[in-house]
Amino acid sequence: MELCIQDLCVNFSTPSGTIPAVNHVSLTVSSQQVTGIIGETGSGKSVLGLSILGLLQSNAAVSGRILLDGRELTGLSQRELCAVRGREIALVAQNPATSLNPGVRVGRQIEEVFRLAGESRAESRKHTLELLEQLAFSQPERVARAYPFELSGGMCQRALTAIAVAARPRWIIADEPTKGLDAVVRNQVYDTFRMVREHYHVGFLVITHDLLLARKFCDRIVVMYCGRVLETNTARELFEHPRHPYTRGLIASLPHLGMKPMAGFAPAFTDQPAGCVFHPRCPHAREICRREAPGTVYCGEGSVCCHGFD
Amino acid sequence: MNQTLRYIGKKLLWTIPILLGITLLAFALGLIARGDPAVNRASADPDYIPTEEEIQALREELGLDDPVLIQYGRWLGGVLRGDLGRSLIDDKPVLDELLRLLPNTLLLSVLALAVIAAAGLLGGICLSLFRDSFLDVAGRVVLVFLMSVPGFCMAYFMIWLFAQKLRVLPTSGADGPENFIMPCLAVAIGSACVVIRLLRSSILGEMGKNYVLTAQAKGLRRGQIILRHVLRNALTPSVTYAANAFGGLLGGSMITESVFSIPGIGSYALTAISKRDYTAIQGYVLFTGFAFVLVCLLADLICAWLNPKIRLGG
Amino acid sequence: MKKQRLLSLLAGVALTLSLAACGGPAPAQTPSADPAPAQSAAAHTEDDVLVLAGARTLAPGLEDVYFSHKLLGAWEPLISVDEDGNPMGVLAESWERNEDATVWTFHLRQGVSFQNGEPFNAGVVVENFNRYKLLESGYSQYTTFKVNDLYPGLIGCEKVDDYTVTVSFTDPVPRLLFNMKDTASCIFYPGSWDLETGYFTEQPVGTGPYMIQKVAEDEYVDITAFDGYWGEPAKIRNIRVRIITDPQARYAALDSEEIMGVLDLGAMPAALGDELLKDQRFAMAVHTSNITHFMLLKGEGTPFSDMRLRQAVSLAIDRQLIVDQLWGGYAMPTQNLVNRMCPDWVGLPVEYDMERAKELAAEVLGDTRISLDMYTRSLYLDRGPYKEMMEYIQSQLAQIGIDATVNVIDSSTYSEMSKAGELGANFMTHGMSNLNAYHFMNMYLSSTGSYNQSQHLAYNNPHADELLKEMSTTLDDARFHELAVELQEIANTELPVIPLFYDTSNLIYNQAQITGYDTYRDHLDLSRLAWVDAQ
Repeated sequence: MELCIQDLCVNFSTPSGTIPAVNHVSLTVSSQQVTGIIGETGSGKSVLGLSILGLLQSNAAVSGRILLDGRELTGLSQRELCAVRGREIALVAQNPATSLNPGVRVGRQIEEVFRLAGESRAESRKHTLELLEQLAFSQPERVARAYPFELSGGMCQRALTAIAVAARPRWIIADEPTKGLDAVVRNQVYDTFRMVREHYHVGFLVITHDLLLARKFCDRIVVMYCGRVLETNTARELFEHPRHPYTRGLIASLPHLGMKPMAGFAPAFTDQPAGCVFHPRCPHAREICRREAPGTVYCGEGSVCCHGFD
Repeated sequence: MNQTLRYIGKKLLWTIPILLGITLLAFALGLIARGDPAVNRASADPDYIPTEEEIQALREELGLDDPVLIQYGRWLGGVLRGDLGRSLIDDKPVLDELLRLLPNTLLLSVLALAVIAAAGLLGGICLSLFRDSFLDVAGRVVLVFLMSVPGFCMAYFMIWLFAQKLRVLPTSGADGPENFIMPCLAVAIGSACVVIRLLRSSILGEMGKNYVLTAQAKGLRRGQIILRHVLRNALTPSVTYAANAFGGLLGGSMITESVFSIPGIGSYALTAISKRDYTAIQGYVLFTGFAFVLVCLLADLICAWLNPKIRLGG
Repeated sequence: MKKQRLLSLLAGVALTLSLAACGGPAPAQTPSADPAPAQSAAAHTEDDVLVLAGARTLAPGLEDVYFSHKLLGAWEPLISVDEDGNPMGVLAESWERNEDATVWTFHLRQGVSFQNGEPFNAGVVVENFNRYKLLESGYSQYTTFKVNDLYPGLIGCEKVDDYTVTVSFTDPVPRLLFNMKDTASCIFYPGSWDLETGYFTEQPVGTGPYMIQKVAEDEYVDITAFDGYWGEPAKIRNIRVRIITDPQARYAALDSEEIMGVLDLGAMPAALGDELLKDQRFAMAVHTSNITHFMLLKGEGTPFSDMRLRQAVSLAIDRQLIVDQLWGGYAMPTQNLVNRMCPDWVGLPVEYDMERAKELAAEVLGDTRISLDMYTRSLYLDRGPYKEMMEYIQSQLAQIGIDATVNVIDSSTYSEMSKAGELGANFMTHGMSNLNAYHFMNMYLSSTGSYNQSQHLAYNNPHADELLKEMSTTLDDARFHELAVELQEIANTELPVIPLFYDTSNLIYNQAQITGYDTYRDHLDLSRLAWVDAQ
């Protein structure tokens, strides 16, 4: 099973101009593997994730194609997309505390997914409790009756995962699942995802800037910067032999590797540099980097987009 | 449950000082305002000028020469015994009069509230569902127009249309249910428009929140999301507004009552004020104050029910 | 996109429907509620209810000493007036007095029965006079019952035989019959009032052509013809008189044929009336009323104590213009204190002469300008274009050196200010409810007259005082009339108050449906109304 993204562009039209949040991205991910998309905040990775589900705001213009097992998602109507969402591709949204409805009991928010799939109230109730138990809630009944503000961040995260899993989708897109959580809880998230992956054999697309989670959980990594894919590779290769200077910078900024912050800042979307988008921050930038955008070079299982590999 | 009861109890206890305060204030305002109920009572017949002695005798009879605090105390004593006193002008018991007029006002207010709620919900949901479509834009223009039309203009327009031209509704009176349709619309339309706009904007505000994304990702359609998820969180401002409007309506809508000749609390208060009938004014203030507090309490309870965070003190 | 459009269209329809749904049940119900749809010009039967409307209640109830307005025809008086303003017997058929007018004998109409079937006789009248004695200041929103004014020095009423009574007084009361008009000699069946206060304790029973069937307070009163009425029976059996407080709503109710006519004071503002008269269905019955519109100038401590300045003000006002432009031409300009309904009324000249006004004002004021605060009560704004009239007078007064302001105040503020003498000028109406010329002129012309004092007019003319004194005691009707004429002339020149015009009551009715509005005596007579197409 494959999710194939071909030449995807997402442009937001805003009063201050058009923002190219995703710029000619082509990717193929397999549900056999856990794919991680990493990059700094504002690299367009969340937009990419949401565009797969067709959940972008109305001011977004999408071009290119997104194919789910050969079926084109970009051309589907809202109604048809609703059938895809949840049941084929589910989402674990970022900010677990606010991604649950504050006015509705957690149990009901999970039950709703079962109900949508056509189950009776009693069945969905039963399945909800089972699912909560499976997701390591020690008191599923209590949690089901609770409101989101009565739960901790980690519990909310698991509840969100439960919502995503409930309809037994083939894909789960997890958007920044560890953002704002402390180290212990981040580990719990990892355990939960691991369990879901093993139990449900679901394809994972993890969008994160948490490199540690990516390294531990993902089989394959996609590095994004300024709406472009700069490098792809298997997780092991990527972390051991990063090719692109940006990837190297990211890895070098990890705490246990000396926490060397990368120089400079990502440019504003409305004011992107010519040539290679990374050249203003790149320690190896050459004349050509300023002039021409580099092409994608495939080598081994990965690819890289840099003049240094032409 | 216990918690809720304690909450209600606390709120109700609070109404006592509030009511004492506003009635005392109303009494005090009587001091400042010019005009003497004794003179007004003695000169009910416009062609007759009462003599000084007559007025003085009336003042003594009505106890108007006593110090204000004593008058207030006397009134308060009566209230504690369930007696709101008698009108200074026509000597009718204030409580009986209020109770006689209450059904009309109550009927009008409840009907109006129903219209406000129904139109508010339906309109607010529709406009937000079709946000920025032709319906939404045109609807908002119409709303602004309707909101800016004063109630009595709306009343006259409806009389012209429904009573004079179409002849489907009676012009005025309080005889049967059909008499209440136009007055109810006249008092409700403005508030209903406000509620529609409030609800629309709070629904759209909620639509930008993260939980909506989760709901969308579940595969829920826009309408389902609004009804099942957003509405409950978006209702609070509208409920508060509608409750305020309802509380106001319970005090009687003087203009609508007079245009449609509906004998209600509002016209009673209007007459009482113009004649400086302090006991009647006091009774009215006490009644409306109490009604307002009750309505606000009800609104609080609804908001708490809608919003578990308030309810559970989280 | 197309789908979206369609959906929004549907939602729009739903919204409209939901709003309309609130008005939904109406069409189904109204046919029965609407007593007279226009098209069904089918003949009216006896059972059809005639619906009329007025601005105020005509049946205030127990707290009013008359319970209902005379207009409803529930009760009748001993004495009323004819079209010339002369006394006319109703329940009293004839009368005579002794030499010095201290004892009056009334011969009562025979064969009259009350609406409860009981006969009307001398005993009943005696009981009613006992009731009058209790009413020193009987509360009514129409006419306060003051026994000491109406029956000064009343000793009592005694039965002579079943249909004759005598009423005796300590002092002569030569004009008693004028005093007794309508409300002052109202007759009710005994037993319905408190014997200590005179106020009713239950709905009283009268002898009139209509019985009060139901009073819905502040809403309507239903009356039904009394079969045992002694006079000409009522032509329409059932009448409902509604209270429609808003003039615009009365207009709409007439237009929609919900009501067939309006009645009582200020029933239809001239502008709305004119609008209705453009429609063939409607006609206007214009009746002279006993009301005069006045401008009262405070004389106490002001230059207006000088007669010349009052004359200047009067001369500066073009009354005909006010009447034509603001009152639709129906009213009648006057400078006479006494109302034209009074039998002792004489026609006197009405003058408008700005040049003369300026001269007179200059004589009094010299070169200085004075200021004048003019007031009226807000209630008059419902009766006509009072504010516009005052503004016109303001502009006229500016030409004779008086800088006036126009103020509208509520009744309570008015009472207070009037008591304190703070009203520079006061615009008001005064109805001559008692057509006794002495009674009315005494209020303004006597140096101790009640209006002279309460309105701070400070009018003082010893000659007028003398004439009034003679008037109060003369037993000679011719002499009384002479005195009345002389005093009217004095008032016309010296202007203790400035009369503006005589009011008319303009009643609009649906002439396509009913007749009888134009047969009018002191009040509209409901028993004369009839359906145009009665079976």
